[in-house]
Formats: sequence, C-alpha cells, structure tokens
Amino acid sequence: MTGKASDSMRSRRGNVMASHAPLTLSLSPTGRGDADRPLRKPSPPGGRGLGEGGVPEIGREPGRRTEDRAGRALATAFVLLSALFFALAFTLVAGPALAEPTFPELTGRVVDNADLLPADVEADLVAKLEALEQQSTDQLVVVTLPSLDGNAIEDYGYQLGRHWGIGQKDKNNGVLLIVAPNERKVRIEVGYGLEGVLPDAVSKLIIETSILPRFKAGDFAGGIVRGAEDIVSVLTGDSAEWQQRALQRGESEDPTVIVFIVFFIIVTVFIIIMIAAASSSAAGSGKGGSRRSSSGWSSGSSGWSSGGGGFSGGGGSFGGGGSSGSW
Amino acid sequence: MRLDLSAAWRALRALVLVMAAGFVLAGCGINNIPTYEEAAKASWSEVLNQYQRRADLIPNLVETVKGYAAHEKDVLEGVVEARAKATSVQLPPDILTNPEAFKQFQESQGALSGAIGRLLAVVENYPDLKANQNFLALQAQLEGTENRIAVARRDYIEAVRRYNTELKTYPGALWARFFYTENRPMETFTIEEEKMKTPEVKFN
Repeated sequence: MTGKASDSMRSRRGNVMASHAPLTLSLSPTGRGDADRPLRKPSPPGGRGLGEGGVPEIGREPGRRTEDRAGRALATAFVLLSALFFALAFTLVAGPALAEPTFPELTGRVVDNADLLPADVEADLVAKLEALEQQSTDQLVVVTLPSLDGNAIEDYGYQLGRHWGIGQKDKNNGVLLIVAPNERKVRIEVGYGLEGVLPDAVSKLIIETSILPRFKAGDFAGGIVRGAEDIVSVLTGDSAEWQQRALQRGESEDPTVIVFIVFFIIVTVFIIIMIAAASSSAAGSGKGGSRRSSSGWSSGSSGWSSGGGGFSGGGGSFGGGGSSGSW
Repeated sequence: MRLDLSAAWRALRALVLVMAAGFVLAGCGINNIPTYEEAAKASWSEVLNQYQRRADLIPNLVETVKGYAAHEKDVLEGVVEARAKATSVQLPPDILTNPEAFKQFQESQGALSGAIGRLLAVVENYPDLKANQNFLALQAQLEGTENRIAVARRDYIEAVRRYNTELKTYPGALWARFFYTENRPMETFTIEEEKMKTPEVKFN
C-alpha cells in the first residue's frame, strides 16, 4: 500500500463529502464523521487540502434532523457502501487460485468409473461400506478412475477427498481407496481423524499384501474387495476404539449449536427489520440500491457435497495421510 | 403520547442505521484481514508440525540403516547433521513477515530433504535392508510425511495468497490503511521446486 494510492483515495472521499453535505451531518452521531477528522490531520504538508475545505463546519452543529434528510443520507450511505461491497465481490472473483483437477461425481459409496467391478460384487461392497458407517460413522469410499489427467495420485487423492467431503465434518474420519488402472496406481487416502487408527505403514501393508498381488494377476475386483475388507477390519478391529468413536457421535449435539441457532434467529429478525426500514426510507427519497445491502450475508460454503443414491460426504477433510503403490 | 411514539420510532431508526452500517461494513470485508491472517497462521502451524514429524522419524531411520550399512558413514552423518541444523534453527516470532528468517528456515529444511534423499539412494544398494520390515514401515511413514508436508505447504501458500491479496487490493487495502496498520504481507515458499523436491521413495 503506497502513500500515493491512499492520498488519492482520501481526496476522492473529500469530493464525495463536499457534494453530499447532509451525509456528514447525519453520520457524525455514529462517530464516523468525527473519526475521519484526526485521520485527515496528519496528511503530508502541502498535500491536497480539498477534504478540509470541502467539509462544512455545520456538520458538527446539533442541527435539526428531519426524517427526509435522514432518509436521503441513509440512501446515499447505502449507495456508497454497496459500491464498496461490489468492489469486494469483484476482488474475490478476480483472485487467481491454484489449479484444481476436475473431479468425478460422487454417485455412491462405490464410484466405479473405470468399470472394474461386476454389478453383484459392487452391490456387496456397498452393503459392507454402509455397515461400516453405521457401526463407526467412518466413511470409506471406493473409487476407480479411467484417468488421473496427468496428476500424481497423491495430489489427486487428498483433493478428491476434500472435494467430496468424505468423513464426518467434526471427525474427519473418511478413507478413500483409489484405483487408477491405466496409470497402474493405487492409493489409500486417509482423513485427518483416522491417521492414528490407520497409519501409513498399515495402509502400505494392505496395498502390498492384499491389493497389489491380485492386481498383478489381473484380478481387479478381488484386489479391490480384499483391500476394502482389510481397511474395514482395521477400522473396526479394535472394538473398544470404534465403540468409543460411536459414543462420541451421540455427544456431538453440544450446547453451542443451540446458542448459535438462537443467535442466528435474532440476527435474521434484525436484518428483516433493517431491510423494511431501509426500503421505506429509500422509497421516500427516490433512490434505489438499498436492497443490495443484505446480499453480503449469503456467505459460506459448508463443504457438504451431495451425491446420488442417498449418500453424501459428511464434510471431512484430508491432509495427505495414507499410502500409495503401483504395479 | 404522540410525541413519545415518534421518539421511539426515531430511536429505533437510529439503531437500525447503526446496525445496517455494521452489517454492511462486515459485508465489505472489514473482518477479512484478521480472518485471513489467522487462517494463514494456522496453515503455517501445520507446516511446522509436519516438518517436526519428519525430524522425529529420522533417528529411527538412521538407526535402522546403520544396522545394515554402518560403513556409509558420510551419508549417515550428513543426515544427522542436517537434522540437527534444521531443528536448532531458532524461529523468530515474526518469521512469517521476516524474509531473512523465512529463507533460513526454508534452506535448513531443504538441506535436510537433500540429505534424506542421499540416504535413500544409498539404501538401494542393500537388498537385505530394503526387505527389513522395520525399514519398510519407516519408509512408508517417511513417504507419508513428505506427502503431508507437500499438502501443508500448498495449503499455506494458498492461505498466504488470499491474505496478501486482501492486503493489497481494494477494499482490503483501505481497511489495512485505516484499521490494520500493523499488518504486513507474509512470506511464502518461493524456492524452485527442484531444490525442495522430496526424496524419491521407491518400492519394488
């Protein structure tokens, strides 16, 4: 941020104030008009004095505030502030982000895009994965891909897991078994929350002993099913462990959620009042644009992704845990 | 009666005005700079965490390799030294906004990456060691840790990109000028990928 830019910003602000004198008048009770004053003082000597000359001193007098004036000032303020808001919105759109690979759709617990599994085997596997989630809330998804689009399977795996949001949001207990037959790569991608239960060395062991020998013999369905079964048995192997995790599921309804909901309702009521008041005063002064002010609040992507077949990720995240192999 | 009612109406209107200003300011991103700053700091903690995890694996790895290849002294000592150097670097509290300190951190971790790479290359000559179960488990952990470091670094780069962009673009620049004058852009990983490349770990 250079001094030059802020200077020009300031002088622009001064111009606005000069042409809309009532704005200063009505806003000073909120503290804004006064707050601007000390900031303008230390500006470099010989700088643009436009703002100082432009702001009329009557702004500080306890003038009579008619409703008409307040309404007009409100509308002007909304126009200015919504302009700021749009500037922000454009900034967010324009910012360059890291390139992401394209991801397949989450169509169920088994996403067999490379067609490696016969229908009956797939149905059987889906049932097992469903049972796993009911027992432990862990989500295991098997995905076969015709292509990785030139990505390393390690790069692709964690991003796919995050994209789908596999695992429960508060526990990050998702696992992906990814098979890319054309690149001859397989990977077990482990969510943050399961890195202790299913450490990298165990993932490696499953890949090396259960999956790869079958893949090398051309038995893809057998390798995938055996690998998934092994993962399930590790995740549920220690019964005390998974029972404890299942217990945590019941406790997750903590009071902060209720507090948040109550707070949310209160805020919503206030917003409704605000919009009603703003639109009535804006209508009086004949200036539009006030309605835009509410759009800043439709924020937040929850990280939930939806899929067909009644299955969707719970919003879990991944940090690169797990292991890969190739044949 | 009539007077009271209009006073109440005016008070309500003032309240609504103040709240509207608050909401709109929040909508304009007045909270973005501190929010993004905290996110970037959290990502940085994850980077440190994963580098620490790697450093913790090394003594075990060195011991295991020693059992089979004790005479590869140079390589083994190189790893031990690089680890000692990387873990002894004092991180100043302002490391994220201090280019010198950040560069030093990067270089020490890069040197450790190189030393581990040389060790794993040497291991290729010892088939018995490569078949050792303990070594295989360590290798899987090391591989996983390098991958986690890569993910943590990428998340950090993304968080810093967002924070620095907010500081430098309008209207974030305006908030920075008036409210967050202490905030400085953060450093990010700039060394070319070759230098920081993770050691290749191969399983046959």
